[in-house]
Amino acid sequence: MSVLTKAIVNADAEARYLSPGELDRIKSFVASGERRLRIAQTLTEARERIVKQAGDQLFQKRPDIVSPGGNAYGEKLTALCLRDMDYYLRLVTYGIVSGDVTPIEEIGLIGVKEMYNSLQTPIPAVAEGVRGLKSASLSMLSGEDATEAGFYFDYLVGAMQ
Amino acid sequence: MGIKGTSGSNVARPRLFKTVMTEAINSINAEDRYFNSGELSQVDGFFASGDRRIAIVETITANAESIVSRAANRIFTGGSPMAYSERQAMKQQKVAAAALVDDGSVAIVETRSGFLDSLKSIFSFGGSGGGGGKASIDFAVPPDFQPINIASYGPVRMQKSVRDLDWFLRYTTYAILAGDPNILEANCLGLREILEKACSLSATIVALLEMRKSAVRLFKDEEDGKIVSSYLSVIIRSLDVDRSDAPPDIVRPSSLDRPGLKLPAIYKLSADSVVTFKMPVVYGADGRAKVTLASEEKERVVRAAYRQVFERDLKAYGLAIGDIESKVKNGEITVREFIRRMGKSELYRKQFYTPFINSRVIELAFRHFLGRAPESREEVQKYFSIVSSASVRGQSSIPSGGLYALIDALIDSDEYSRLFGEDTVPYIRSLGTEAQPSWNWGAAYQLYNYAAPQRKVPQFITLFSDYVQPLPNQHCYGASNDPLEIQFGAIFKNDTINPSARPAPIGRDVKRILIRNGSPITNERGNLDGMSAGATTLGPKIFKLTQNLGMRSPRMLQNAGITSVEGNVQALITAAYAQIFGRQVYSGQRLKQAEIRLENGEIPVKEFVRELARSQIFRSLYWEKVYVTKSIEYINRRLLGRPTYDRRENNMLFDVAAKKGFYALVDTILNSQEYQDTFGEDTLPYERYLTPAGLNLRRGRFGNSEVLKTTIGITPRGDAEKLMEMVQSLATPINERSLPELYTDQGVPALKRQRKIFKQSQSLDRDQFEGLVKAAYAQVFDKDFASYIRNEFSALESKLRNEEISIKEFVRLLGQSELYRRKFHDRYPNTKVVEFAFKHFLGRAVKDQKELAKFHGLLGRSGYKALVSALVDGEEYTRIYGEDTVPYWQYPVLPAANYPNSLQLYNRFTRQDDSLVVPSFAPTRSKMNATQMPMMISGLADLEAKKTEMDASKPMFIELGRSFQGAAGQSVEVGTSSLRRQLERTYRVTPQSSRTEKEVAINAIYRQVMDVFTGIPPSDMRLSEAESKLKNNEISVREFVRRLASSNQYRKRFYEPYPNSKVIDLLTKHLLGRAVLSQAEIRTYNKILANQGLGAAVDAIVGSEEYSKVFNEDIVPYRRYPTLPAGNYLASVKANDEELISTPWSSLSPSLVDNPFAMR
Repeated sequence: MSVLTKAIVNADAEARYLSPGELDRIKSFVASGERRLRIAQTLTEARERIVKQAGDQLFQKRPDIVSPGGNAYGEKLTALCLRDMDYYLRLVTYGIVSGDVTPIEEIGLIGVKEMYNSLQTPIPAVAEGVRGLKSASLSMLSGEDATEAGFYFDYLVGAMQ
Repeated sequence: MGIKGTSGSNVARPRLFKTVMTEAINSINAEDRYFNSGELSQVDGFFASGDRRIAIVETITANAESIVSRAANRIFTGGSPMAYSERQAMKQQKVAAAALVDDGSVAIVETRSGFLDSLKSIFSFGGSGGGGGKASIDFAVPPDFQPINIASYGPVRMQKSVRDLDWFLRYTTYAILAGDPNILEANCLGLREILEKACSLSATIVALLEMRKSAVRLFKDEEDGKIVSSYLSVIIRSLDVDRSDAPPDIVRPSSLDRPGLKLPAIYKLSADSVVTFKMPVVYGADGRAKVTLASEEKERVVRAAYRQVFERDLKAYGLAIGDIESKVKNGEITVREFIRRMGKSELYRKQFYTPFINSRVIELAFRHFLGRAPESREEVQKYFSIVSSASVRGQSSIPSGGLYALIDALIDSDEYSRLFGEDTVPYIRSLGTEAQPSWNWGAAYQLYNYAAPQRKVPQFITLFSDYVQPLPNQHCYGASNDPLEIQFGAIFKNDTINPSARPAPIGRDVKRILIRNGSPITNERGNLDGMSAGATTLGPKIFKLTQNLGMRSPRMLQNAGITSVEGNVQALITAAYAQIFGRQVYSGQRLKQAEIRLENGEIPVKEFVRELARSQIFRSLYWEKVYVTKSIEYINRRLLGRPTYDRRENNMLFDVAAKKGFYALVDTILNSQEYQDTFGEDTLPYERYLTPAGLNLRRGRFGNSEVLKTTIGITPRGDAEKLMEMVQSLATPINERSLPELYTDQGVPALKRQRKIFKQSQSLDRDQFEGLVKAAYAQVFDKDFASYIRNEFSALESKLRNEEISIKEFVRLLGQSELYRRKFHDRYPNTKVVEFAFKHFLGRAVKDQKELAKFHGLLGRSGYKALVSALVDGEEYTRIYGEDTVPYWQYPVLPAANYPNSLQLYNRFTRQDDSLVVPSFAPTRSKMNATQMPMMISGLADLEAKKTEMDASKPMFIELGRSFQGAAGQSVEVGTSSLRRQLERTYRVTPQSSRTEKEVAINAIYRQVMDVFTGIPPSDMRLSEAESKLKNNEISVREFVRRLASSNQYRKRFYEPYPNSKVIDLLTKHLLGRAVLSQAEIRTYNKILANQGLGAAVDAIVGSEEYSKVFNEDIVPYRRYPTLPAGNYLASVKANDEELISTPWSSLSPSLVDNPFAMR
């Protein structure tokens, strides 16, 4: 739910018009809209580089998953692993654009543990991968933008733990 | 920041509105891609126009009242409509804020520019609002409009109408803010019909037009006005009769195996829209098919198809199926055909067919090709039979198992044609797309999940078959959702994690099984008198306050003859707290006032209960902290004394709880007819019914065997000790107790384990050393403690004491001594010598012939000293005894076959017994062929002949139950009762019998005398005293039989219910094992029975000559018929096998008894 939807739902539940406080919040949301779009655009454009960097970082930190028996061993599985990282980066851009974590949660997090458990993928490794995505992404963003984007990555990591 | 489990369903938190953002994300996520620049700019536009929108909303909000009041004034006459506004009423209280806005002082919004273009596309309908801000002329005032008179309209309706007008405006502001008129569209659906019935539709439209006019007038800028106007027009359009084009409800046609369901359009509108992909094929002038889409579009459709069928975009992996892909792009095949070919590809087979069992294959195929989950058992069965049959179908010539047939069946189905046709890529028809049946929702949502192919276990077949299983003991809201007792307090442990996704197959009319607390006679179901039945000894204690007793003093009560505790008000109050709160409350929490009023007789018990139930403490215990269903369950138990019956009751109470709240719920229950009938005004509620599970929980006491039987498997509740033992034995790793020990535990005397091991060590004192040496002599010289032996070896002993030699050496020297040779070598054959040596030096018998041969040879070649050395220096000796241990009798271990040999060797008196204990396992075969020898041949022939001959030594009737060669040489089976074929087993109890034998015999006595057909007699028949006496040899079997037959149990079982002649029949059957022989016998016993009673008759029979002759003192009576004279035989059998007579095939049935052949 974006700030907008949340405000509407709340107001509707109480059968009232939007309060000035809510409108202020929406205003700031709208005002920051352009910046957030910019962030999303930056990340989208650089996604290949980000994913590659994050992947390298992950495989360096967790050599076990690319060694025989690991969950990303072999060309195909490695590709799958990178695909998933790309997937999470994409979700983060959704979150950034809508200014809310709901899309991330609804599309990507509900049931994620069950899925990875059934795939026998170590979830800490996935979280590590997201951390890698974060550091790679933040290196491309300036101070305030980085803080904004970092929040969404942190949310992802937090939900996976 | 955790995630709440929602079992994958968005029903848990449905999204109520669409906004520009959610829509954008939804559509691009359907394609698994990032925002492209176009979408970004669209969102960007939304942001850019954001400020403007907020300003518009602010203005409208500020002037809401004036807008509404204008509209109201327009349609109502004869009063001030705004007097009925709730908001107005609220505002007037706040004096400071009551700056009523009149038309003249409206704030005019600044002009803005650069309005979001994309919004225009949303309002694509008929150029509404295009005519400039001030006057939208697209909607005419309905001709039948007539102003409404407030006085005749009534204040209540007036209030509602004004509230509704306000509602329209409020929703308009929401929609403007969201940038999407969807909110209005979804919420105005169906409104038209309601308004038409409730008041005047035309009046509403007029009011809305007025509203629009006055709202638009607020804005100077034309663009702003247009925005407002367009949104309000959405409402007007949906209400306007002429322009109404509300989307119809989505109706799913029903079929034999799928119910028809209707999805109201409002759900469809507010749900996430599904992105569908189409690739229409058109036929050109030359008759050739082609696809007119841009290649980029084609690519998107193809990718969507991959995502649907393979669950991911195969192209990203370079796995695309090239040829068919280009064909579909060229229009040579349709999308439907494309999907079909993908399903039949090797890749699909590898990914979704080979790794799964057939049921799961069906489920996945449903997801891929129909975009839904299987919905009924019949459906699953139908497709299961398709996929399981081995027939070859379809275009391919490859033998297909059933996958091809399955895919063909799915894609050729009517459903596919109706929904996807030729050119749409199938999509998942989840919530909002189509009405969903509820009975498979859990499994369905798991199937729609991203991770569905990772699950190997089929769900639907088990789910649907669950519905036809008998009802388990469960709550009507789900298999694992029983709020009480089954998982008391533990349901939904973490709020929403893993609620049971399998609904309980409990319908509206199914009732829970409840067990009456107390005598079942007063069970209320179908027994109205039972409702108010008073206390019974079996039931709960009932507290009742008779009319106005409370007013009297205890003394007056006593005078009135009421002394029972039930009359005591204080006791009742204590009981009331226990019943209503489940415990005694702290004194500060007691409802003192209510107590006093009850004591004074001002209120009846019912009102007191009501006070308690409405108290804050009750509310916090059973209402605030639990969810509604559970709360209902609790309150029902507390106030009505029973769990809820069924879904209908639950629903009714839920309705009350949800609409009117806690206090209404309490009142509903207390005011119910049932409460009145059962407890009335003056009885305290008590627990009337329990669930079976609850009953079991309460019965769980120590040693309650009934509970052990009813609870599951190995966890006897209450029998804690046993459980601990079991747990410990399970926890002990098996290798801690050696395997041989485990094996040899069976039937081995305990003495074997009580062995002392003598070990040499420096710290031995004199006595211990003495013991050590003695043990060595005892072992080597076979328990011969004669003093001359020790004298012989005093030198050795002192060496041992000085630790010059080890025990091993000592043993060896003893063994090689002259004395040993004399005692165990010279007098015996070599085999025996080897046997002795094994016994003395290794503590076991020779294992097998091979071992014997080996040491036999050694003895023959090198003499007995070599034999002793070989044993003492051998690996086995070192392993078991080492240097410092005196050899001891090895516990007989594997192989088990050696065990009897060893035991025999160990137990016998060596020097009195010259026989050999030599292992011999394989039967030796004679080298001659016995069958060729003349005498053997004739002997064998004789045996063969005897086999077919009748046994003359036995009476003829014994053959009745046998098969034999009839006159025609055929095998004839005369009787088939297995009972008569075998001779009775006899039991005998002698003073030497072991305890077990005695117990078996005692059981046999019960079987015979008490006529228990099989197994162990029930405990209430047992005479424990006589049993123990018999076991201690204080009484004989005969005495036991006598006591048993004169016992009360026998009397009750066989004497009281029957006439005397029958009793005699039974007595002879039980005590003599035969039927009555003659009328004379009957007469004799009849006399005794009539004059002296059962005991005397039993004495007479047991003391009779016949009894002494046949059974004597120590034999348990048995059925004697096969050995009796033939005349009595049939009668005896009849007495035992009366049931056989009625079976026509039995030799005892009249038809066969008359048969001369059978009688012979």
